[in-house]
This record gives sequence, structure tokens and C-alpha cells, in this order.
Amino acid sequence: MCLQTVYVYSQHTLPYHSKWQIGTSINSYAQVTPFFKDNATDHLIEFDKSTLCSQLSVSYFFHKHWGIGIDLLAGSSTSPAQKAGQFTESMQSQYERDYYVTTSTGENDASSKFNIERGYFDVIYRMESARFFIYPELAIGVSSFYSNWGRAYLKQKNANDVIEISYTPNKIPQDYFTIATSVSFGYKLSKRIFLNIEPLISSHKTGLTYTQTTTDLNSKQSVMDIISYKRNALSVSISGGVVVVLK
Amino acid sequence: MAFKKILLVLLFPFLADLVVSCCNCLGTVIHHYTNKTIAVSNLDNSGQAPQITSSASVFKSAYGIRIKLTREKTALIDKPMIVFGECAYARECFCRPPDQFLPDDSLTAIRVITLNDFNSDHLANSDVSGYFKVYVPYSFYTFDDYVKNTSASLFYENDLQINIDLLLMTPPASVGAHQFRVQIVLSDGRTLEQDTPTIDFI
Repeated sequence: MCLQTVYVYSQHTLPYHSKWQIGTSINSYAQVTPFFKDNATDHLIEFDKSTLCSQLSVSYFFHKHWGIGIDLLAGSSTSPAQKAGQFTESMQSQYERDYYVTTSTGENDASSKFNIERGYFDVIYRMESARFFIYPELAIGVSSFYSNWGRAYLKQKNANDVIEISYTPNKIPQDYFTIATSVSFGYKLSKRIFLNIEPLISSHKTGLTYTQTTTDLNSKQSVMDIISYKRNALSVSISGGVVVVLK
Repeated sequence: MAFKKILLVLLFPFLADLVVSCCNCLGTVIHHYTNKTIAVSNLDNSGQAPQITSSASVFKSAYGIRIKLTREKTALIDKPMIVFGECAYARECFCRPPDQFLPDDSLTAIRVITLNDFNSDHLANSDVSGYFKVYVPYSFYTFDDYVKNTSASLFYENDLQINIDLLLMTPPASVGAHQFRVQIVLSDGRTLEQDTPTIDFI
């Protein structure tokens, strides 16, 4: 009878006992739909096709099966100096046949270490056994990253003419509405420590545009073009880490 | 009362920084200078930046003239100008440079005269200033704009000698030998002038 009581407790009472959980993990992120345009402006955006982020999560379960949570992610793209170098290489490959190319960008080595940031508000459905758990989640939030200005002076070979090409983003930094769905699952090492893996798929609306202004510096005549980036960017990520049950 | 004391203690580092930031600036010594001479050279701007050339020929679309303008200090020195209250701005100290150089005479015009037939409209001894522009990387100025907008007040002795690059923005249709006379007209009525070496436009 006593043994049966212990069995009932471990199978039915131990799961779903937690209210507050805090988790930390490493997140590997990759784009599914191509966001970049193979344009020089790609190198002005502090965002990469794939990157690693640090993730902090806090969850509160107000019901046996239902909870809410907040996920914060911070990562860094290719270093600003590398990005500036890539912008220069891109401009040179386009124009160096006829022009000497001199570039400058708004990318600053002294800027924040974390230039990609994400924040989600989650609704969580909880399924647990004594040793395993699985939490499907639906999230809405914001993805943020910097998009810098860029400029190139093109001095024509064997001539006095100089052309300026400037690229100006519609705003700096950029915050984008993001929706995501994920499944967090793992193994309970103890009553308070869980190992966790979480694949996630997300989509953020970009609306990012660059204005390209080409100016003949002698005549001061300018031509403007708009470079628009894809409106919906689909990406996947997987994170792995530890969840601590606080209460 | 205790609150005020705590506030004073908390603000003390800031106030101390503010007091230290107040500048103990020395007075600025005002010197005077006069525009003295010019020396002109042919420029070849076919590369990344204009270079003086002694070559016999140059691409006509990449031709220019460099004016080396020499200015000299005169004996006149004004008493140091002490500026009070020149202190903390954003809690940093900005003093004026210790010297300032003011012109006794200033540039009123720059002219380029062609000594050969430039085109059918501009024969020898015509003013072709409109075909040139002053180039300061990466900006172009008409001669009038350059003269009007360039400050003649200097703060460093090294700035007394300057180079002015004139780039030919409208080359002639034909090739051949060309020579130009550069004139700088000063406010005291003097005109500094010199001729470029002859060069073939190709």
C-alpha cells in the first residue's frame, strides 16, 4: 500500500509541480528564405545568414498545462570591421574597372557587442512525465538589428570626374514584428534541473529599404533608387541549455 | 537637512569635475599675414589623386593646375586676447589655439587665362575660368564659391602655405599644346600671377 502511494506520487504528482522556471541556453540561428540581395547594402546590415545567440527564458505556469513566458536572445553578427571590408570589396568589384573606389560606413567597432536582439512573449502548453517533458510554444515578439549607412567615392580613371554613391537605411536600428512557434523538450535531471532542447521556426516582417543616391559631384546632379529587402524572412533555430525550476 | 547633506555628497564628484573642467586658457596671440607669391604646376589627375607632373603630355580629361600660395607673417602682432568664461562645455575643456592668423589682404578672385586657342569660342588670352573648378577631396567649387566660402582666418602657422587644385572639368574637343596663366586678385589691388609650363593635351 505504501509502495503504491509512492508510485502514484511519482507518476502523477511530481510532473506539473513547478510554477516558475528559468532557463539559459545557446541558440544557433539560420535563415531559410534568402533575406540578402547580393547587393553592397547587404554588408551594411548587422545581421548574418546564421549566427549564435545567448538565450534567457522565464516561464510561469498558472495551470497544470498552461503557462506564459518571455525569451530574450542576444547575438553578434560578423564584426563591424569585417562588414566594412566586405562593403568595400563589393563596391570595388562593381566599379574598380573604371574608378578608384574609396568607401566609408556607419559601422563602428565601438558599438555594442550584441547587435542582434530578439524578444518573445510565449504561450506554453505543458506535457510532462516523471523524467521527460515536452512544451509546445507559440510566440510573438520583436527582432532587432542595426542597418548602417554607407558611402563610396568613385574617382574616374584618366578623368577628373568624381561620383558619390550613398546608401541610407529607412531607420536605424530596425525593430521587426516576429511570430514564432517552437517545441521545447528534454530530460529532468532532478526535481529542479532539466536539460532542454528547443527547435524554433520564426518569421519576421522586415520592410527594410535603402535609398541609393548617386551624385555627380561636379554637376551636383543626383539619381535616387530604392533597394527593398524581402518583406517576410523565415528562419529556424535550435537551442540547447538548462532549465531551473524555481518554485 | 540630512537629505541635503546626502545630496551634496553625491553631487560633489560632479561639481569637482565641473570646476576642474573650467579652462585656464591662455590668451590668443593675434598675428597678421599677407599673401605673397604663387607658384603653379601642371597636374595629372589620371590616378587616384592629382599629382604634379613634368611630363610633356596629359589626358585632357584629367588635367589640372596646382597653385602653391605662399603667405607670410607680417611684423604686426596684437596683444593676447583673453577670453573669460571659456570653460566647461559638456564638462570638457575647449581652449582656443594659442595663435590666430588674420589676413591683411584677402583673395577676391581666381582667374585662368588660356595662352593658346582653347576652342573656337576661347582663343588665346581668353578667360577660361568657367571650365575649371577648385577641387578639395571630394568636393568641387566654382572659383567664386571657393573665394567666398574659404575662411582666411588661420590657427596654425603651417596653414600659411596652401595648395589650391584647379581641375579642368570641360576639356577642349581638340588635342594639342596648351599653356595657362593663373591670376589671383587680392583685396589690396595686387594680382599674383604665373604661367604653367606648356603641356600637350592627348
